[in-house]
Amino acid sequence: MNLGNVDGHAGASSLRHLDARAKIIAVLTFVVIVALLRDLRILAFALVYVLALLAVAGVPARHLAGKYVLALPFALLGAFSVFFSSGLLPAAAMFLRISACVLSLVLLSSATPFFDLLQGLQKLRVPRIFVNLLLFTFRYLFVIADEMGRMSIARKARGARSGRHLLDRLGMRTISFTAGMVLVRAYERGRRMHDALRSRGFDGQIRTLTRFRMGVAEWLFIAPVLAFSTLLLSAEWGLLAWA
Amino acid sequence: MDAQGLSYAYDDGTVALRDISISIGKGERVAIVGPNGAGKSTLLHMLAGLKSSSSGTLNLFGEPFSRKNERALRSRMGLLFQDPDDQIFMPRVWDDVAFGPINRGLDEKAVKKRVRRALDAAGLSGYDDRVPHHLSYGEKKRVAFAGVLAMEPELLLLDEPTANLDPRNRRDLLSMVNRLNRRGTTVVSATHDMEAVTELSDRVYVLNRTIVREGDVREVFLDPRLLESNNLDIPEITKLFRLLKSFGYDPGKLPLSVDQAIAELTRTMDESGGHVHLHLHRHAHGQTAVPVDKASLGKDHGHEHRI
Repeated sequence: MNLGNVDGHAGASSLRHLDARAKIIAVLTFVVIVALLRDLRILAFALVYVLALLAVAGVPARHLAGKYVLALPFALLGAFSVFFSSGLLPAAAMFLRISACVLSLVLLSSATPFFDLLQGLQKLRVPRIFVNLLLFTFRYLFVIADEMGRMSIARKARGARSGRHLLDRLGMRTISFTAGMVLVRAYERGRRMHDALRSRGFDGQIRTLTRFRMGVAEWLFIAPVLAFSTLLLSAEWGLLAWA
Repeated sequence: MDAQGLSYAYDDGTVALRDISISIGKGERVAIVGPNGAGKSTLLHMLAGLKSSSSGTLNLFGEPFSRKNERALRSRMGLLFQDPDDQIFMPRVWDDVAFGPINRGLDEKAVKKRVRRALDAAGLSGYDDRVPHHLSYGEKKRVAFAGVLAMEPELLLLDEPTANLDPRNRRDLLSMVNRLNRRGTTVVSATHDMEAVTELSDRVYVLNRTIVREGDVREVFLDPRLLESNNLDIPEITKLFRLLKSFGYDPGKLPLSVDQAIAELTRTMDESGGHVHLHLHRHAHGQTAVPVDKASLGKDHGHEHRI
């Protein structure tokens, strides 16, 4: 299982060193406002704006396309359901809306190392339990994926074949036992991890030293995004003559 | 550290440890040895105050261990887990090492200083921003060790410290631990790696569900029946010298490590004018011994320290 490049491009982004809070606030505000837009032309503007931001952040096109393809089925599904209830134009609007939102989230995740993102969330007072859960999930995803990889190789070494179809009973049995074993191992690992955390003074809160702060650069990033979002919303509500 | 009459049973009722009494003084180097499944890890976790005993008392740093002071006492100990993946949980090396010191409530400057020192001591300069899942096993072990070092523990508990390490990582880990010990840190290691025992400890507890024997390393190692009945073995170098003894070379004291062997050989050479004589005899049935070879080691005094 290849999970190696989750953080692949975050390190190289030009926005990497901005305070994660600035990026989270700006992107989430933008997402909320885009969700309120109905006019196709304004949505198109929003989309172009996100693409421009992605270009500024230095997110490689391939990486972007890969992430977008993953979200495409959801965008299409949303568009289809709207198409059957309200027609073509609202469906197109829905498609653009979802695309713009997904792309801005790709911007957030591609310009921020995962750990900084978590620290940002913590500083923004997202409940501890969510942040901790995300942290452990992220870290141990790799460990469990490795474990599953090793188990799969060990199975093959002993002549197992993977289930070819749903009626392949032997194959399915192997898979279900493997899944059970992964669960048991993960549970045991969880217990050992908790012991390890306690032996280093864990009391439920994961403390870190914050390495970022809101400075000029952060405001220079937030301000235009917020301004543009406001502009989009004003246009949507007919507050601007040219819209 | 003083434990009296500790016991532990698993959730399913299997007794893991029975009536354990252990007492370890400040600055000591002690090993808990025993076969697989003897309960070494469980005991270590109990001594670290992570598992509670169903009987007996545990005193740490002269204080009885209780719910009230467990966090304070635990912060004075460092436990190195066998699998570094159990211990390293942060997505960045630097943050993982900083976890312990921050929990101790140190200020930013002190935390940074300690993390720097721990990373350097563990040979991890330049690893600050590395991601744990891209590290090798040996590197992960170093990160886990740095995480323990940064807590500056008075008592260091090591669970199978040398398991799965390559020779270089193993040697480095052992010398890091011994360096800490020379500065006053008490070291307790649980292991079945008998070569490591000679390098990491002066006193040994043999554990097999309960304490089978306690004594200094030499005493325990020279009791073959005890070791065999507990699936343990003596270091290869000791075996070699025991073999040499039956061939006629009498080392006053059986060496337990290569260092001791060098010292022993040097001493013998000094006593007999630069030579060690090995008379190897082949014993044929019913005949008297016939010398077949005569080997001498280390003729040149200038070389004998550089074996």
